[in-house]
Amino acid sequence: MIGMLRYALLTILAVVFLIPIVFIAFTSLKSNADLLTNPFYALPEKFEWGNYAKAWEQGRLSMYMKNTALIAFIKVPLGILIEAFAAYALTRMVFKGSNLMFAFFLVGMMVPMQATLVPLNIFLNNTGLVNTYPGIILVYIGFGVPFGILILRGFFRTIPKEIDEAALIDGCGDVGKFFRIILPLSMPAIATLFIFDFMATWNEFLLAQIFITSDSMRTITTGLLAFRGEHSTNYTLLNAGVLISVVPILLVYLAFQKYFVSGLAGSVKG
Amino acid sequence: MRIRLMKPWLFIMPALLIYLTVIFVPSLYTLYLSFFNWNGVAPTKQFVGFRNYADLIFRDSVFLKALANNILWTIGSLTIIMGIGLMLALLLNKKIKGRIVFRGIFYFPFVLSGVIVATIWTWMYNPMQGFVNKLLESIGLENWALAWLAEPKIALYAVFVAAIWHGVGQPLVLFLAGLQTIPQDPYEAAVIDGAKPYQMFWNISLPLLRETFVIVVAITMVSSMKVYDIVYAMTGGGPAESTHVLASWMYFQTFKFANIGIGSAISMFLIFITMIVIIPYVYYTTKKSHV
Amino acid sequence: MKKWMSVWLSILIATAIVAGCSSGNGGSSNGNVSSNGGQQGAGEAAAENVTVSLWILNDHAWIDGAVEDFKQENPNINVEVSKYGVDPLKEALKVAANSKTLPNMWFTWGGSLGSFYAENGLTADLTQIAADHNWSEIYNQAAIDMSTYDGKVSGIPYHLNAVDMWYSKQVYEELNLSAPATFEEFEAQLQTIKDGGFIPLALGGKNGWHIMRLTEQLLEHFAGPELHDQLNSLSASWNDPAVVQTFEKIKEYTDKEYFPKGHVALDQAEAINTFYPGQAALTIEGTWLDRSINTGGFSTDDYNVFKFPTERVSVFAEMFQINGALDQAAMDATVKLGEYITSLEVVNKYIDTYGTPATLNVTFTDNTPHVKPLLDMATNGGFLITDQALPQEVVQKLFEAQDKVALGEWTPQQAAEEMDKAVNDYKSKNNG
Repeated sequence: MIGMLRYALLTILAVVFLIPIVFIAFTSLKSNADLLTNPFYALPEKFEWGNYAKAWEQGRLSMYMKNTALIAFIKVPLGILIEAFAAYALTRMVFKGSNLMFAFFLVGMMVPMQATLVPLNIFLNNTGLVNTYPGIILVYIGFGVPFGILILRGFFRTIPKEIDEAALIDGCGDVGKFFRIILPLSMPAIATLFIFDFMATWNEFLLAQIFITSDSMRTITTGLLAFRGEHSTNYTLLNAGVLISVVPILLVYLAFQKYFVSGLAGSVKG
Repeated sequence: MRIRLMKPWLFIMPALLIYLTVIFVPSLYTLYLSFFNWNGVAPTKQFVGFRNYADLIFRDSVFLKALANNILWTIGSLTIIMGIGLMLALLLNKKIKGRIVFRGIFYFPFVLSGVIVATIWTWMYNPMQGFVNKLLESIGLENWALAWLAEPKIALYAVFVAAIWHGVGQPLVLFLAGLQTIPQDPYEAAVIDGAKPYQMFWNISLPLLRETFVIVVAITMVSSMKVYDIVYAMTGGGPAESTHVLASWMYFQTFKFANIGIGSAISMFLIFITMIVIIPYVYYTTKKSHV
Repeated sequence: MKKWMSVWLSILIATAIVAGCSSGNGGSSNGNVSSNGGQQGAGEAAAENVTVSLWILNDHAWIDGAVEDFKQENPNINVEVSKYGVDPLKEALKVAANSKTLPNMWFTWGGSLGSFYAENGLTADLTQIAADHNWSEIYNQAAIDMSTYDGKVSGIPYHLNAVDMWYSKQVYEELNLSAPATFEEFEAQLQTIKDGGFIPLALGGKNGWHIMRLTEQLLEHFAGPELHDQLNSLSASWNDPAVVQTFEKIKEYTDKEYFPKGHVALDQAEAINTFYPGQAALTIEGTWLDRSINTGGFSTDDYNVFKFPTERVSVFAEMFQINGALDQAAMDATVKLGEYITSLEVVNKYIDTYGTPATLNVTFTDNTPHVKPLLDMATNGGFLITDQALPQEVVQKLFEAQDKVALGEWTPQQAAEEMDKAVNDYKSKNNG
């Protein structure tokens, strides 16, 4: 009975959530004249599958996606490692001012990116890092630090201290404990963070536009922007491009979400 | 002994260095600029002390409106978006058929950038050709069909509905991950004791989700205070500046009007507000925690 | 390990602090501007080899071909083009101006958008070059004038856009209408169109500037050219009967439902969707609409233009500004590129995608039949489009006033007073 109710509720909500997604798909399959003449919720008069090829070509999505993947697959693991080190210290090595330190990191979440553009631009120009991947990766990691520490600290705190003590008896040092106990036990947290961080990096726009100026090095958001012009926007290709561009995010999500089910539940008790 | 004391700092150092470079030092610069009247390029800056802050509070009606909107947005996010996220997480935490598909559907909107979400929802709200009004008409509620984004009293809520659709995926994923950390034995014991499902939720799930709540509440509050692109793209702050939020007004002041000092002061407001809300919250929950 | 860490720490912090300070002092020009974003030092290495950086909007796609041709002809000049969306370009330019990293040359709008860079001394003074190179015979004088601040030519004219009335031939034929000659006739037509079951004015109010295109024509009508110019230059009070009458019309047209439903929040992209298929009769758009009609899959034959029954047309220019901190070699190369991409030869080659050139004697093709009529209207006289004529803060207040009048939150009289107050606030802030 409860199972049925659960299904009914989930199905209704899923349909509601799907409606706008379906409209995005419709739009991506229309001709321009179709989109401009008919209500946008209408089915395409004719399915223009060619829009996807056009968006791929005109937006040069393959190049931009490759660039973005390169940045994301360096930034995300590196960032998580750095954040995990810090979160480990904040939860496992109680020291004077550790709460203050955590609060200090947390406040950084609030800093609007726009407010940092000028000092960062000067810094990157003076260090020769402007228009380079190390430069943008450094900036991305910086903006990811507060969020990453917040998530990892929270999850590390749920790992019972008894496990640490057992590890100490086994002769693990802090580095050993970090890599052999805490990290493996935190897979759901790390998977969560990976999913969010990858998505945020993939969709990031403001910093990428300002700090990467060479067209051949730019990221996917730039490719999509090509469909928005000064006086008009090509919505059909934009929507097709958007649907192509989110595929990697969904793949990462699918790859990592399985850790939610297989992760911690059993092993914590261990 | 000295090594022991240094050790935590060695672990923190990489994150701290990058954080100082990318966020902290630039923020100090913003703080500094917030005391000046400056257009961003002129050779001289005029020191005005706290006047930018005072002007915002006492003379800028858009700022106050934006602040009120942010507060409304935060309350809505903490109740509705977080509530739906938690409910979906609880529904999806069981081994049911199609679970991955359901999770994918609810998460999907979150992967879209705010700008595309805004475009789709703007069209949904279109007064003449939009789906929302069409739906209302088809179920006999044509009197309810409004120009949703054109009414200053409604526009922000209309945008917020789009934000719910967009944002539920984040708390959902966080709560799902959090639920995984709850061991099964309290539930098993409770079932043996004959506990009802809602009792198990209140007495087991909620307390054990405390750490997850700290995370979700903090993230939700921060992202509500910083909300920008979906509002800017759907309404541009209008009609009649009624839907501005702090971040969009900061953007206008900084990049449209070249009032760097005022834009910086708005940024500092954002930071201060978070500090006075989030830090006590974190301390409180840290203290209460049993771990 | 510890030592290494502290070294890293001090380096990072030191650089960061240095960075913060140099901008705090307003920044000193960091030497080699010509090689911005590219290989450091390329510009200084030898006058023979210069890199020119150019920032432009991303939909001006013709630039790629033209730059390739330019590089062929000038093998010693390297060109790096960076493309941006509209808002990102404005942001990137403000950030670059602030941190002294502007490119050699950048696209910008005229009026109060381009003036920021000229009036703050960031652009090269091209007055001498304009005289030496006979610009007055190459570019439309109006475009040159709109690229001139404080008597100094501050940009190479690129586009000259004229904005006026477009109508759907189909709707006009069905209702037996023809282009109105007087304001009274225009207003009568609006009612006829409304009664005929069509939307009279396909204008969206989101972002403000599409309704503004009507506001400024009404203002031109009620105030007359002289007062309109004084209002725009902030030398006359906005608390004026002409301003009140203008806002009264905005309110009247709203109440009579001449605009699409919910127009204050409607995106122009949504509003124009009623115009293309003939659900709306009129819109106010610029010389670029022909291209939008084509890409939308409609035929330019189905639409025509007429002059709003006032003297002058709303116009605005777009230009390439040049960095004022360039050395001579970089400057020469940059001017050369700028003049090349606005030359008659290049413009004619890319005319269908170029936009509306400021260059004279251009041959337009049949793909854009309404560009020439609009430009011809402008030769009888033009006024600078309002959102470039007024300071941006005052522009924003005007947008707010348009909305509030339409929504009934302000009376037209209040709106005029609020405008006057915003103008005075702006003046006192910038003089004191």
